[in-house]
Amino acid sequence: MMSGKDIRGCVVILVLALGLGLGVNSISPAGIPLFGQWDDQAGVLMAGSTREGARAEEVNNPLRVKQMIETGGIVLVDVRRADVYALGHLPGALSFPLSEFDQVIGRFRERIKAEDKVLLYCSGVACHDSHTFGAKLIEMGFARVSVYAGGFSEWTEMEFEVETNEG
Amino acid sequence: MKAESDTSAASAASNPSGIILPWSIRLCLGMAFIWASWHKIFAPDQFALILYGYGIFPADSINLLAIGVPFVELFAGICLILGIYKRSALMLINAMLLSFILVIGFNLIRGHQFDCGCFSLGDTKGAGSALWLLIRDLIMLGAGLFLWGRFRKTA
Repeated sequence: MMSGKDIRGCVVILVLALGLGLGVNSISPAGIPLFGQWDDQAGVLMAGSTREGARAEEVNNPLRVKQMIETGGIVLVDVRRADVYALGHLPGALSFPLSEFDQVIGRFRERIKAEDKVLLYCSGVACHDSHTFGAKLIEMGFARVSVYAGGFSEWTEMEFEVETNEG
Repeated sequence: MKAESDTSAASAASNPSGIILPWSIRLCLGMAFIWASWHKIFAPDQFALILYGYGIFPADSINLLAIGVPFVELFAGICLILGIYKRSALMLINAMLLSFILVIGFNLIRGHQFDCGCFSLGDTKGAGSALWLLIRDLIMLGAGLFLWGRFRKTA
């Protein structure tokens, strides 16, 4: 069945593959660290990045988000698709879909100043879109950007008020 | 010895499917694994998220698998096609196919939805889709086992 040469060949292929994998990962712009953030209680789930890039701070407490919305002073931004936003969103949230970033960013800059406090959210802890949107804003000079990690799914699980376009 | 060689050549000439079929399977399996590795190598973060979605792997292993598995697929595919450690490459490919079948089957049985991430990072979820994945992997494993049988005969 299996010979010593077969086993040796498997080891050679595995060692070469893993060595090259780790090497490419360490120099690739898309590289990830060896360990990611996979605890859904600790914030947005992600593999992470080996690049030191702009990253928005996370708010990982729905009660705090609710308080922030009620107190005012923040611009709440929903980065999900517009049709999903229309079905239901957090009270007072503005729709700026990440999928249409290039089209909506002009309107975004007209309405929101770089010094405004911006809170972004998307569908939930497995969604990266709010972080992707946030990184772009930080690179553009928006200094007070944060992400609601639990997103819309956690908000509805908490049975907090949801607005629809009809309502 | 010469007579044996002549017999073998004559047999191959009279039965070209005996050569063409294993070679076609070898090429298809190798290409499939090279193709499957490509998008994962360029987007390991998305592949890691897909691995998390399977709901099976320990958290500390997800990034390591996302970094390593695509390169094992790539090397095994290349080695199988080029004939470098071809039996070892085929063993690894069959072992990976068996692992995929077990993981997909386990999730199908427990009703856990997941993105495959096999050949693209946007594969749809759903039981029908998972069943199709299972059938596809079973066919590929069948082809891999057939090839293993041929490799044993020619080794």
